Amino acid sequence: MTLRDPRSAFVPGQWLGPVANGTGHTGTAVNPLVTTKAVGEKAAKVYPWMMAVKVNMPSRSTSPTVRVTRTNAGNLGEPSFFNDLNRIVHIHEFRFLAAPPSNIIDVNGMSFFDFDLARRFGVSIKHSDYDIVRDFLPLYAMATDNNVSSPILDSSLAFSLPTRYLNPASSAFQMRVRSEFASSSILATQNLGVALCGSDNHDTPYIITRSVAPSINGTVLAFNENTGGGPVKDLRISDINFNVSDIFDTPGTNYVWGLQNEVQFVPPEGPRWHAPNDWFPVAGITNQGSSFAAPTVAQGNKTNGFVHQNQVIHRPITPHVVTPRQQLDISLKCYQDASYTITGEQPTDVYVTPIWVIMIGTQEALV
Amino acid sequence: MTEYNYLPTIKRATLESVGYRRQAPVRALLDLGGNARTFLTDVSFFAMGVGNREGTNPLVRIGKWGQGLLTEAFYPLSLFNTKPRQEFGVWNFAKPYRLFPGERLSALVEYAEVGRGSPVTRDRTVPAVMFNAVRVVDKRPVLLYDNLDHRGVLGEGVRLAAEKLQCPADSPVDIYSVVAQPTTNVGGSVGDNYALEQLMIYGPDGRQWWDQKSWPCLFDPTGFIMDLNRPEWVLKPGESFFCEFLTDAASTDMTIVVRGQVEVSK
Repeated sequence: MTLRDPRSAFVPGQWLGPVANGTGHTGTAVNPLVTTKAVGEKAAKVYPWMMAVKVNMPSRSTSPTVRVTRTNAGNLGEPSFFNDLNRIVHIHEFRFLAAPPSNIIDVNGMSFFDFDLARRFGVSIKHSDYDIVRDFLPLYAMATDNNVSSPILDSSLAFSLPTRYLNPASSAFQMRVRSEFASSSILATQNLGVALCGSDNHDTPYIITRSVAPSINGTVLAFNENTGGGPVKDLRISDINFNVSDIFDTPGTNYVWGLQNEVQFVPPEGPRWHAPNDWFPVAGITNQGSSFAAPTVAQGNKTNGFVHQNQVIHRPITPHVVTPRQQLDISLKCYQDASYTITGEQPTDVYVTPIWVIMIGTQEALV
Repeated sequence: MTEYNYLPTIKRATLESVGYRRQAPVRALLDLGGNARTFLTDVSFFAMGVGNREGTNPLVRIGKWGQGLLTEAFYPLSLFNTKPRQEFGVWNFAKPYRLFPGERLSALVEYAEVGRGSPVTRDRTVPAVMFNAVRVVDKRPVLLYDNLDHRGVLGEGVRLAAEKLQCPADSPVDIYSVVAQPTTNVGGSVGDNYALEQLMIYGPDGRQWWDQKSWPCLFDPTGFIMDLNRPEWVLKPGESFFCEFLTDAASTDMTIVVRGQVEVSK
């Protein structure tokens, strides 16, 4: 038996060396500490995995249920997630989000702050081997986390990775950032701040941050701690947090702003965390114009984040395992209409509400 | 070796203080388990009209009866708040509650309309309950749930007892939390408000998990909530949760809700 430095004990998600399966690994840096392992030990290469699909929910009367598919095009032949990887996916978390598109004044005749994702929609989830939720269950009954209101007022959507990811020193973690609304002449330039939180090889907290003014088409954000192109020491990422500078609307206007930023993750090592076309919504801003009574804190005034009642997080006690060639099918059901109208347009112009379905988990090489 | 199961249970007490009671604390003893060990998960306090103004904020001290008080002095309620207020009615257990093959839980829910006067054009909350569990044999997650998949159930109790609330035939399941829609429109906006008038969960033998039925704030404690899911808050047989409060207000009622689990043989 080979004794190891306890500091190098296996941490799920750490990078254990080059991946030879052609899954996108770039293999430029090898950390000697974490590649040392006992003879015969299984090399369980565990990396983060995530998926985001945006679907548009039409009205209950015309189409009460919607399948969540990768293309959003109503292609009924497509599952919500098909594991075409050569790895086992463990799903630790489902998130359901609704963020207001720009200029929402009204959702089905109500202020956006009445928009309650948890009670308006139900979900059904089917695994290849078993039903997770056979029929439709209201999203509120899927909640396993109490979404808190005031404690997160000034923070934004955070990703807690189910497995830590080793970002080797000098290898830059990159993200692509885009904004739905960046070029508006009404809003001041926003600034999106991102923090990679974790620890170094000695379990000392280590955080690197960057900020960027995202464009509509995407801005690359590189976490270059120094000119060497990456963090100065190994960073085991456990959380990725976002924040957006406060934005105030023009005084006197009647808008409720919904500002949507989206990101993609480009880790320096290992397989991709998500499909190339997936964008993850973060740091939606809601603000309320002067035509409404001043919203309370709980209503999300100047909230850098989703209005709290529009996110439901479901974490199963143990992860759902999706082996290669298995799939998940997810459908959403309207219990209440989710259409909305836009300020300044005819009330008869009814739009649909985008809802994100996000899964966060791990991917593990077959041993 | 005896194996144990942990029955979720809740006790509530309302303390009434009439007149100035600065010199006479009002006391509550909350006994969840009798002669069995009890693992507390949390306690919440709710007092009408409690604000930050000195004189209206009740002063509290807590402890285990028979083990002494946590502090000799009385402190403001807000000092005991250690958990964020719940937006969804999730009750996370301190210990898993095991359900065996063939056993089935059921629930009774009832919503009443508050808020706007005539929201007849609006849809209504779909009553539902969900138990977040894991199968013992293979650690696969499993949800036990039921919902009433139509609208318009107000003012009458609805029994949720579908087959989907039944333990799988091939494995016991360990339940780690239970979810139900909380009291009313969360977040404070004016909308359609539906208050959860009743929530009762029945064990496999039909026994109620708690005594009183009409608990509007059962899963959504509205006041201050303190996490007790720690080893020091395990009640030994015969011990009770103990709370005293003082107030300067002329009259204040305070409600205390203690949630926990009683250790029983499997």
